[in-house]
Amino acid sequence: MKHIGSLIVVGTGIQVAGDITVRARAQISQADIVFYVVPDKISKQWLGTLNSNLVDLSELYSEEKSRLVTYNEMTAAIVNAVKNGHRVCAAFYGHPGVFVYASHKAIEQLKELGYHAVMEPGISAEDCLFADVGIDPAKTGCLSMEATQFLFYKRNFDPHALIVLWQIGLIGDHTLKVSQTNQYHYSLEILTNYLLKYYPPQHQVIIYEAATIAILPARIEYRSLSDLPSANLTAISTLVIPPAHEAQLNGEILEKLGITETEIKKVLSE
Amino acid sequence: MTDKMTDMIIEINTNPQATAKFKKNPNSSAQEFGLNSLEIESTLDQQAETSNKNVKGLMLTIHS
Repeated sequence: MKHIGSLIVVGTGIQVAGDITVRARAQISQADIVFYVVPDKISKQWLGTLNSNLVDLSELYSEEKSRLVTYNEMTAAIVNAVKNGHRVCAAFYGHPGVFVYASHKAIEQLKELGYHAVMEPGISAEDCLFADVGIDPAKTGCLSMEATQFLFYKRNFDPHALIVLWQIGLIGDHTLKVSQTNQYHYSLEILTNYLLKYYPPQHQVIIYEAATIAILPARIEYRSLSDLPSANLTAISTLVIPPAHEAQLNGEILEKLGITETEIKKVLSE
Repeated sequence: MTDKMTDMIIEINTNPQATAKFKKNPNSSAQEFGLNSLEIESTLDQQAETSNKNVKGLMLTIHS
């Protein structure tokens, strides 16, 4: 049996007001109550033009507590409003399912309780990256990962694919409390030394930051991998590592498929 | 932060003609919204500052 309350999670995109889908905008306007996390005052004022019943979840942040605690509090606020019978909209900037804990958790908990709870897609920073830098992730394949996770865990990665490391300006922090981006230098040096095992020192990498206002340029800063430790990073910086080499064809698999290397190269050259 | 400023940025972000017009002549575009270029410069600086501080999913994936 479905209950009266419901949840729609939407993304507001990266550029204020300009990136949101028509449908997501309508969801915000038609909700009984809107919980939101947006990065600036302009976005907050704009949301106020769509719905007057707003709750700013970012007020739950505090330097004294772990962000995990904050995210659980955000989840509880959303879930409780639905349980109270409201048509709830939760709006997060970017894509609401990318780098957002509370959106997935709230949907998961509400579905278990029998409520209608769904997410609608939004424009993420990664979408902006592909457009601004002119990269097609399907061309070589793409590994997209949070920078600290990439650094902390043993895992195989493929230098023949595009590598995108998010939140590079916070790399190395494990406390979930850091809000300043001035402590990354040592970890960035360790990351660079690790990457130099797979890429030449002069390999060009990109520091990327999406623009939130259409008149501002995105930050697209090319630099040699060996110069990465001296980069000036912020909390919204992303490290993009283009492929170092072309991947080699797998002769064993091709032989099983009855395809020759020459045939593939001929198709690709047409 | 003024409501005029929000109105102007929403217009710039949602209307490509307004974006092009502002890029061509920022002062003239700002005046149409009752603003001056210094106010806009200050707002854009603040915008960059607040955007850099607020990251919605900060570092959480290391625990996933």
